[in-house]
Amino acid sequence: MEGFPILTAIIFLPVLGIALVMALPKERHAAIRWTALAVALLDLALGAALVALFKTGAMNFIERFDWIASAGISYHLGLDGISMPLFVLALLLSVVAVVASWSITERVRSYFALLLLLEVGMLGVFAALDFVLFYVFWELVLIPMFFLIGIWGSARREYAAIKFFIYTLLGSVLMLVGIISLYFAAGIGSFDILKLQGVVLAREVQIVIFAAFFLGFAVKVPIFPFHTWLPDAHVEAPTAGSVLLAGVLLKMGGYGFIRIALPILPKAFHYYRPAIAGLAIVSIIYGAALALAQKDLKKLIAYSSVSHMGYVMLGIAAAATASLNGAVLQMVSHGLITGMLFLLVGYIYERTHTRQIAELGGLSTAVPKLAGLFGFAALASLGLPGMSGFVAEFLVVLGSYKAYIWLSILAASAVVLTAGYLLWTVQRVNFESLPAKFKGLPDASLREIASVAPLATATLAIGLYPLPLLAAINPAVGGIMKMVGG
Amino acid sequence: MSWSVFAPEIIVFAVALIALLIELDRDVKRPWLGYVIGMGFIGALVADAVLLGAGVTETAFNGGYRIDALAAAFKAILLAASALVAIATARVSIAGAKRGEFYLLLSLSVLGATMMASAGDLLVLFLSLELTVLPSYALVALKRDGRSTEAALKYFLLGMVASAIFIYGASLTFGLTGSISFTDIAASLSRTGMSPALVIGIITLLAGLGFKIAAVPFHFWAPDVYEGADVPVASYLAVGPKAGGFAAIIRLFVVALGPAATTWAPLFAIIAVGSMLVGNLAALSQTTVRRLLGYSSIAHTGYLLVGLAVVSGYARTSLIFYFLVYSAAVLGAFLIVLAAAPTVGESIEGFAGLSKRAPGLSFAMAVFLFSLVGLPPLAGFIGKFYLFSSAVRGGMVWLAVVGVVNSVISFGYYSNIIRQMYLVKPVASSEVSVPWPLKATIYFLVAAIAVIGIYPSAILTMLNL
Repeated sequence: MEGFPILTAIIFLPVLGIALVMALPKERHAAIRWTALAVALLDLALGAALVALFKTGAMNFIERFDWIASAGISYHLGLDGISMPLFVLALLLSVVAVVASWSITERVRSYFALLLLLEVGMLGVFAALDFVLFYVFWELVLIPMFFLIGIWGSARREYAAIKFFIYTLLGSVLMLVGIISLYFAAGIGSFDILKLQGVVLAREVQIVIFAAFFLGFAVKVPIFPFHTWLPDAHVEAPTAGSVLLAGVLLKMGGYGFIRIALPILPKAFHYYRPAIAGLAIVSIIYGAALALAQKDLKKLIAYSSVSHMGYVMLGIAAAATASLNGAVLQMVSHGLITGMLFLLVGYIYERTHTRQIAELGGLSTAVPKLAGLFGFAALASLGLPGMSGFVAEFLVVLGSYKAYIWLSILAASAVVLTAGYLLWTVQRVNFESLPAKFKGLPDASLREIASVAPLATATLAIGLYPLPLLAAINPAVGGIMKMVGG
Repeated sequence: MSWSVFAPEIIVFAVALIALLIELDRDVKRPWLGYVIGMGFIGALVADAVLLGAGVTETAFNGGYRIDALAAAFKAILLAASALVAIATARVSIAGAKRGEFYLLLSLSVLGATMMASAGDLLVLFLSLELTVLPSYALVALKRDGRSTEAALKYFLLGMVASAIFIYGASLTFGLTGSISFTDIAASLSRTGMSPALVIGIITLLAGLGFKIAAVPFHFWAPDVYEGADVPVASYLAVGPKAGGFAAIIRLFVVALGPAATTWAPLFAIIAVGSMLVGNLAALSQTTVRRLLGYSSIAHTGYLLVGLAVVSGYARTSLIFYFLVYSAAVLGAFLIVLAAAPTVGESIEGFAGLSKRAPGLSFAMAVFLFSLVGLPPLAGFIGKFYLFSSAVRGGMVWLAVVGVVNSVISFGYYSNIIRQMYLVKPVASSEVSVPWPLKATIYFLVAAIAVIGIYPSAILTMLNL
């Protein structure tokens, strides 16, 4: 395997998939779907090979050559314990997204082509070790997501698509100015992220540049008050769009903080730390409180994402080994769990044609399998011990105890709110009386179960035995901790 | 000095003569004339590329004419764009005019613009500037309807005022420095320093040339002209005179008025910000594609001027590179209008559902628009990346921030077209038929934008960026 550019192969395999899909006649929906699925599965299989070959504690699978040599821009890829889990998560959720899109009947070819293009961008972001390359992949995600929401979304899709695009674009172009400023401030003539991690900048310079990065990442995460695009985008997006948006795209922000903001701008990070921690706790509680008030299932999950991503940010702000481990784990866990929730809400919607909680009810008698899975996902989301969410949130709370004792206690208490809105939702959706019109709905099909099963299995596996994953994450987090300092 | 260094100009002049002779003879209905003219421009482009590649630097006619990398780079962009316009229009009917007439005026204007890029003194600059714009006025009026006549008149009157202002500034500068040659002006300036009269001279020169590149506040003609002129004409005007204008501005201000950079650089910064804001905000409320592109081109003049507001060689080279990628995208967008307008009209709403009626054209248009926004992996991103990098490097981070925020605003209106094409249902289902040379040109531009975006090194090395 030495010398084989396996990361490049994985990242750009979907491009081949796009070519294959576009080469098929547009009415052959089945062939298009199966091609997309085959490509995504093959990519995931290659990803499994990566896992097998992965060595902890180092940057793996490095590929590096000059791209725009005169400006010090290189094509530099690699994975370590922080990016590896997210990279595999993106591969897995892409497969799930393809499976979840079987019911798409309009413009099928363009749909799957865009889905595969989105996969390229997502994978690239986590593997890129050059700022410009990182930015290219970061932005590459926007265009397919814009069309996925805008064309295949629900009623207010156009508004949501444009709002999503403009919000995230505004954040990322300011980040671009930050990247350029960093390049000139460092003065080493390179955009290489790893090389720039070794440069120590003056505190004042760091503080300004950090602000630019913060905006770019905070919009993506999203942290309160930069979250307003998220509920709109989620509610209008098609199921697969929501799954990838919540499952992978939000992680790009958290990943950016850990990979870039902390190690390269540590002094500024310490300066902003209290503010980030404060916004994180506001996100946790505010997101949960809003989720409690939602009438639309998708909106509820969208706000719960704001709340759950708040734990990621709290873990980052606390900057302790345990809390950073927890933050990375929480990103993976949230990707799996929220992916599941969006899938299931999508499947429920396809049957009942409503997402209004008040109009649902008694699904456990009509569609027991689907309702059971929904209940499982909700329990996972509220942080039931034995599932991944518990381990992650526990680590975050534990790790942040030392730095922010009160925030840590608040974050732990917020779980009550989370349990509140999720259990209440499960009660109203799964139990109570079944409206007459929902009698005789078909239960979950094999395909639908197959799309949820890997996520549920992973949630349980990580929850019961998180050690292998943490063993991969921990050394990388240790490296970051060294650069962040005390 | 050998005459071979004038090969591009000579070939363009020959092209103009061919067009003239054919126009005298008869009305050519067949497409071959477009190909001949296009091949002529490509010949000139090849000659120019050879000069650029060989790094030829020559000064002719007592410093009045300069052949160097700056001139060659702008000529290359201009000639390539003109060749594409000529080929793309080969099978398109030119409203109200004989085909020969159109190509004659086009090549004369191109000749003027190439000379403008090489101008080394104030008189040559003025003469070549007039040679560029006089045929342009006629080109705009070619369509012979109310709209185009109005646009042409507006263009002509404002253009003449701008020329008069330019001459006024030129005479002030000549009076104060005692020379019309750029190098002599610079030498004299560094001896005598600034004077209030010279500041007025600089402002008037800037006003005169600002008109040609449609910079705020000298931009009022642009939307009317881009909308009123026949589409083939508009697609040339969006690139041609601007290329000459930018080359002339760089040479005049950097070479001749270089010692006064601290005076004019802030002016360019103000005009840059003004052009970005006015162009982008006005474009937001447009209902026709061409008017939208007209305002957007004003905004792009604003981005380009960042390369002059920051006084460095790096910034100017970034400007040239951005001009290249901008030209490709904006020319492409105008050609899409040329291709689609006969079937769907020119209002933005007419583009509703175009992705179903003409998937290829819609895809191409989306590529052009996303490149204009500056999204990777398209060429527009690399262009803006370098331009704003030069601002940050020059210590003007605020200008870079204004630039990127404006790019986000610009998505607000570009997305309008994309929204219509992809998100809105079509109102009619008739196929959009496009002549093949036009189609080929459009796809060539798409490929160019993608290739430059993914592998910009080839061109960056050529420009020493």
